[in-house]
This record gives sequence, C-alpha cells and structure tokens, in this order.
Amino acid sequence: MASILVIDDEPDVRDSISQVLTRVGFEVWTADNGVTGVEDFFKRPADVVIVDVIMPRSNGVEVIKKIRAAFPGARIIAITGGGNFGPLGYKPETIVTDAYLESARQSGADAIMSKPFHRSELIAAVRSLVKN
Amino acid sequence: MKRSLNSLMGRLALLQLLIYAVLLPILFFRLDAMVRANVVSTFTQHARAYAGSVAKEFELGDVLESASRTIVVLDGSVESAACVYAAAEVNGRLIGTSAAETPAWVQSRGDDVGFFKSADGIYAVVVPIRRGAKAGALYLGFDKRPTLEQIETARRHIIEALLAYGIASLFAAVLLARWMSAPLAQLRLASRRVASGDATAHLGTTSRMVEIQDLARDLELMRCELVGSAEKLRAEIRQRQLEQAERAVLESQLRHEQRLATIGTFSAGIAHEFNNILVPLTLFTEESLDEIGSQQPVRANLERILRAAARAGSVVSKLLTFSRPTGEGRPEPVDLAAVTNEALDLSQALIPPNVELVRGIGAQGERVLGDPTLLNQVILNLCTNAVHAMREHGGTLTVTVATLERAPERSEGPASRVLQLRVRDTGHGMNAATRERIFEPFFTTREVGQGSGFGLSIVHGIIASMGGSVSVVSAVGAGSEFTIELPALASASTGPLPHPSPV
Repeated sequence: MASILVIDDEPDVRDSISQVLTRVGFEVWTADNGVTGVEDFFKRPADVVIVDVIMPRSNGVEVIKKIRAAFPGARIIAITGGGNFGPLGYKPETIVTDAYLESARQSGADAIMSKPFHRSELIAAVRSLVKN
Repeated sequence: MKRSLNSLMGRLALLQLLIYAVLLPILFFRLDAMVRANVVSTFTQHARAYAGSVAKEFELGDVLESASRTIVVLDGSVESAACVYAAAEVNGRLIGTSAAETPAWVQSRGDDVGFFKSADGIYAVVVPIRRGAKAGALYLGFDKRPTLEQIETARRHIIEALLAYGIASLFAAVLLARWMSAPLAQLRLASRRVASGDATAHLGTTSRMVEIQDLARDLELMRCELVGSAEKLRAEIRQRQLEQAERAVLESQLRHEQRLATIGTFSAGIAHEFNNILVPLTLFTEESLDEIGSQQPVRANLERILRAAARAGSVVSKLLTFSRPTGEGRPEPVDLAAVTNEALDLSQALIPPNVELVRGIGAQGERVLGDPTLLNQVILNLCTNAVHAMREHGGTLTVTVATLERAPERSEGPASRVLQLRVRDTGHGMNAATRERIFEPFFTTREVGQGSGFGLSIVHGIIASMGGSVSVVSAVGAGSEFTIELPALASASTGPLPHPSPV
C-alpha cells in the first residue's frame, strides 16, 4: 500500500485530500507546515509528497529542494491556489504564484496542480506517480 | 503756474529775463554816458574854440578901441548863429550886443558854467582879454538845446536797440524750448503707449537734434530689451503651464495605474484564499457523492453545491486573470492583424443586424509578443462591450489596427514602434466617473445578471502583462473608443525572443 505525505497549512485542504486518498486505499499522513513536513519525510519517507507551494515558514519550493537533495527519487506533486499575496501575504515581494510555479517546476516537482481540483484529478495524479 | 515755470520754456524765459534785468540797464547807462560825453565834449570844444578866436580878435586888433566896432564884432558873432549872446567887458565897462538883454550870468561875472548846470538852455563861455593895459573878459552864450536834443535822440535809439535785442533773444529762447520739448513730448507719448501694454510702439523722434536722437535711440534699445524679457517671461509661463497640465495628466494616469495595481494584488490575495476554500468544498462534496448511493435524493443538492463551487472557481480564475493573466503557453510573436481578423470573424455571430462592423485592419504581418488566445479574448471583450452599448439604437462598430512611430523619450534614442488597436462604437458612451473605474474587477454598469464586471479588468490585465497600455476616450451620448497600444517586435528579429519583463 502506497503512502502519501500531505503538507499544507490549510487544515480543510489537508483533511479533504487526506480523506479522498485514504478512502481509495492510500496510507496518508499530514504536516501543517514545510519545516515539520520535511522532518516527517526524513523520519518516514512517503511514496508521494503532496506539497502546497505557498506556505508560511518554509514554502513548497524549499520543501521540494530539501527532499530532492536527500531523496532524488522522491515523487512530488506541487499544489497551489494561484495569485500573488500582496496585502494578505507573508512576503509580498517574493510570493508570486507564477514565480513559485516556475521554481517548483525547476526544483523538480513531478506534477503541478492548481487549486481547486476534482477528486478524480487528484486520484489520477497520485496513481500515475505511484505506478512509475 | 508753478508747473509752467518748471517747464523748459518757462525756465529758459525766466533765465533770459533775469539776465536782461541786470544786463540791459548796465548797457543802457554805459552807452548813454558815452554818447553824452562825446556829444557834449564836441559842443563845448567848438564853443571854446570859437570863443578863443573871438578873444584873439579882440586882443590882436583894434576892435576894443571903439565901442561901436566892438558891438559890430559881437553882433556878427550872434548873427552868424555861432552864439545867442555876446558881450565884452573892458576896464569895468560892459559892452553888450545890441540885440539882446544882458543875462544874469554876465552880471555875476562867473567863470564857465558846466554844460548841464544852467537851466536856461544856454551854455556860457567866459574868456579873459588883455590888450596893453586894458583887461577885460569876453562873455559868449551858446544855445545848447540842439545838443540836448541830439543826446535825447541817441538815448531813444539805444533804448530801442536794447529792447529789440531783448525781445529777439526772448523769442529765440522760446523757440529753442519748443524745439527741445516737442520731440520730448513725442517720446513721452510713445513710452506711455509702451507702458499701457502696446509693446510694438516705436520710441523714435523726428527731431534732428543729436541729444534728442541719442536719447530716443537709448530709450528704443531699452524698450526692445523690456519687450524681449516680457516675451521671454510670457513664454516661460506658457511652458510652465503646459508642463503642469502634462504632469497633472501623468499623475492621474499614475494614480489610476496604482489603484488598479492595488486592486490586482488584493484580488489575487482573495483568489488564493478562495481557491484554498474551494479545495475542501469540492473534494468533500465529491467524496459525499461518491459515498452515497445513486438513488439518494440528497444527491441533487450535493451536485448543486459542486456546480456552485465550479462557478466560484471560474470567478476566482477571472480575478486571477486581472491580477496576473497567464495563458496556456509562453508568450510568442503574434500577428496582431491576423488575430484581430480571426476574433472579428468569431464575433460576427454576436453582432446584431442593427450594428454595422467596419474593419480597418492595417499593419499586416506586424507582430507583438503575447498569447494569441488572450489577445483573442481582449478583442472579443471589447467588441462585446461595444455591441452592448449599441444594442438599443444600433450604430457602427469600427475596429482598426495600425502601426505607430513613437518619438523616442530621449532625443538621441531610437524611435519606438507600437501597434495600435482601436475599437470604436457609436453607442451611449459613459461619464467621467464610469470612465475612471471601468478597468476595475466587479465594476459593471449593466443590469444585475447581464455582466460579470470582469471583461475590461481582464483586458487591462492581459494588455499590462504584454507591456502594453489600454486607454479609453468616451463621453455620454458620443460613443466610446478603446485604444490598445502594444510594443511592436522588430520585424527582422529571428533570434531567441526576450522574456517579457514582469509586471
């Protein structure tokens, strides 16, 4: 049974993804930020990591880079809500979705998914990575 | 009175009068004294010489020997009109002329009386006579009235001459004053015209006086300088006003852009939040649908939730397109004329029969860097709005594409080329308040349910991401014209395309 690590700062996003994947038979555990996410992965590498690109503390791009550095074969899906943060954001000048998506791609995400996505799309994306 | 005394003419005349008041009496008295002395001395010398010659006759001849002979000689003197009275006294005996009474001065036996002393009009000469033992005196009286008249006439002539001289020079002074003050008045009139704003009034003079001409030349030079600096000042003020107006336009553009940028950042933030909310909404609903049986009546509700979530997703993606549009692919060179024609072909179906479409598509083959799908959307959005503005009364929709040479920002820089896309309608137009806000997301003038309020905000976002600009000219009742300007790609460019600078 394949295992999935979901890293997202939004509890509802985390829980919903977790529920969908658990119900189709994956073993899922979660982390609510990039730092503990990477620590969790190092303690117990999952088959697929689903990571939000825009997060406080350690963002998705950093998470992907750290995991890739230690585990070149790790399978990673980057997810993002799009937009840039501006007034609501953490670091307005750095948090621009396009730049993040581009660097997520460059830092080695195997798939990029834009929020919101359908249950079927999520399952298909995870399954196609697990198969390889 | 004081003013006329202080005038040039008054001063000159007064000066003349003062000089003559001193000079003329001196001249008069001097001349009079000279003439009088001259005339009197001639007269007295003549009288004395005559008296001397008569006395000699008495002394040398024997006239004194007989009284009758003496009388004859004395009468002869009076008759010859040399004198008016003659008498001789010999040894105390007075022998007078036969013709006249013996006057008082003879009795007094005085000496010569001064010319002007006697009041009876007679000048008396007394000459002593000696012949042998005989001693006596000759008394001759000369008529001095003709001489006095002569003196009087001479005095009159002097007075006349001096008066004539005085009057003539006074006249000359007045004339001189006029000669000087007339051109001055001329200059004064001209300078008054300059002062009252007539900068073209020439400060010249018709006078041939060197000093006046010099003054006029200097004044004219001064006027030219003043007019020059006034003109320069006016030009500077005009320039400054123009600059201020320009700055006001730029500032308002900047404010507008800043507002749109703020709204962009804000809506992107909202979009991000909503996308995060939509994930559990979508996934939990789909999970529920997956879990429940196909016959459950609650299924319909869940499907409606899902559709609502999908709609929310599309609204959010439009918000994102405004804040930062991203096409499917990377920007590529796009033939704007071709894309415009395609988009117009597509929108033909949208155009009602009461609207006429006029195409003026130039700049064939000119390319811009962008996404053809997004450009297509821009043109469609603009045309939809235009048609909507004309839906009631019909009109003309004009779409043009042209190349524009832009003057370089700095004079030595190369001229830049832009492609200009214009979409003009003859619809109802809009007021200034609407014009200000049309590019903001959610702003719409249409009835609720007729417009999303996203069309123009998406246009703005797409054009801004391509490094272009979109502007609108519109007035109520006069239709609207949207102008999009995009930097043209150099037609010769074959190398790798530059990545567009981030907005």
